[in-house]
Amino acid sequence: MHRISRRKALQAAASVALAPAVCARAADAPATAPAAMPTAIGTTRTAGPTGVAWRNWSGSSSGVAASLQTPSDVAALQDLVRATGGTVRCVGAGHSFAPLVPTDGTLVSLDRLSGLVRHDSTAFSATFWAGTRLAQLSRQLDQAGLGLRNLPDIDVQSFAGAISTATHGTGAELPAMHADVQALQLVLPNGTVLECSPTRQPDLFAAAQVSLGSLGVITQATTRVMPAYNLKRRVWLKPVDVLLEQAPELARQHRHFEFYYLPFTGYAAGITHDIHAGSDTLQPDSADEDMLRELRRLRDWLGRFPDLRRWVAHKLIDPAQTEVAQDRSWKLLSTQRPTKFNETECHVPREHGIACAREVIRTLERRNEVFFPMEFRFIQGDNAWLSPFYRRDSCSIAVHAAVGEPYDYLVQEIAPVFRKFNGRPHWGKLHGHTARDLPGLYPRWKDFLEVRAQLDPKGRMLNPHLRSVFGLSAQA
Amino acid sequence: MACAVTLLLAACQDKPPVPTPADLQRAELATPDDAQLAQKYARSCHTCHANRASTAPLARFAADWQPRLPQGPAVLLGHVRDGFKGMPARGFCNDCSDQDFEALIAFMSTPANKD
Repeated sequence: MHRISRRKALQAAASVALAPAVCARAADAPATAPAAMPTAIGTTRTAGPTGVAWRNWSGSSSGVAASLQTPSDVAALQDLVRATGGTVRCVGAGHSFAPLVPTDGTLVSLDRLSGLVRHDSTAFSATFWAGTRLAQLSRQLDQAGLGLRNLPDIDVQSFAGAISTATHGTGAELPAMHADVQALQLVLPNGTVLECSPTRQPDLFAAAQVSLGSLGVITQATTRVMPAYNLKRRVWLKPVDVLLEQAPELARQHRHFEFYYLPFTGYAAGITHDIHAGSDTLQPDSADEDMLRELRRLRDWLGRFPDLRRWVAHKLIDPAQTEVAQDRSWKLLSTQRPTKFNETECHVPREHGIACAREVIRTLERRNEVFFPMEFRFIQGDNAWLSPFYRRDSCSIAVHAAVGEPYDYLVQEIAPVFRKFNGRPHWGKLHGHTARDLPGLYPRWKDFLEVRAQLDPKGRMLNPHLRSVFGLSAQA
Repeated sequence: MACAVTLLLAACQDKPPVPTPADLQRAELATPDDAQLAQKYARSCHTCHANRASTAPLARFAADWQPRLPQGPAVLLGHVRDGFKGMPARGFCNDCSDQDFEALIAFMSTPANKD
């Protein structure tokens, strides 16, 4: 079946507009060739005796672990944690850009702890094994007549990985995934099992909801669900200044609203998803890859002449274009990303969102090589101690660079803008925040660190990145 | 307008084979006969190989596999084990053996009418 992903919207603008020019250019040699980069992959085993080489999806993070383990059940995981002396880190789909995974100790994959454990169609809750990937989770819920309230835009992550990093979708009145979690089961560093919820060890629950794998290994999570539902997507183009003005009101009017700014075009693509009462589907072909290709080619062709690049884009983009899709919620909200990228993302107080976006755009467009769209979303606040949305409704701003191209500027140049607007970084994305910045941004930071020290006094669940983030010494 | 654009793009790019709605439906529903392999397929492979948006070769769609199969099973196995382009190393199946990977490749690359 055909599905369109959210960035299909952008293609409606970019490829339509740019196709004639690009075709004219396509016969020529490419203007720039990306530098060679190692193939970005997930977990891998080396054949040699030196351990297990691992690399994340984009290639921004890698390491060699002593072993990779795939426990078959909770008891096996308990035995593993007890028997393993060193560091234990979990690995999911490798979609975090920050180095949350690398360790010279033991990598644990929860691939075998996967699938629906139980569901309650009356109480609207469902319990999943933590290793269930979001696409399978959505499919299994759908088969039970249920669905999640919201989803992030990539569907290969493990449920535990998405929860633990505060992964989110968009929706002014919809929180991130972890905020819909009603109970967690973890295997703690001492091998015991912890069950927690808002009524059962509530402080541990509030700490564990977003804990970056630092408190133990999440094995099951119970989440709020709702009856399965269909969505209608609408995509349209507007000059970016117009859309920036309209964005707060659009976020109030629609269940899901977000926009992408197309760099050096002056245009943004607005995307809404709203409940569709009918069962009829509209599934335009996905052309995300075409969109990115056209934006890259425009950059390659006219990157050194930004005014001309903008002028050409204005001439070619047809702002009258719209696109409509209708399908199951999970099929529209979440999909895969064939084109790899590196990314930074920050969550700023909602009242600062538009001002921050304007400054990010200005900062980005000082670099002629930028072509990847900037993403702007809305997220409702929640109460998890390390949630970037802790007790504040937020806007998230994400900036990407294609794999194979420089991406240092994502942190060096964009992070100061995020800081200026009191942003909290996405834990899974590249960011420039340190242990000196974070206590001031998270009111329960100290409480979290106390819980962490209590549950894992030897720091067995920490890798160098987490020690740095938490302000801990290199030694346990 | 959309058609014109599609044509312009098609004229200057090599487009992958286009599956019919029936091909896509077949990919969505196909599952290996072996129960254990089916479980691994469902949790690890299906998400990308039954979804055109991923650009992964579509399960049971011969046109996607024809250019790949001549490389031989050893090369394809290496691509799965070590990762290749969009394919993550070990294909999100860290408990799969080489035999599992070979069986999964065989399942996905077998045209639907050759069962």
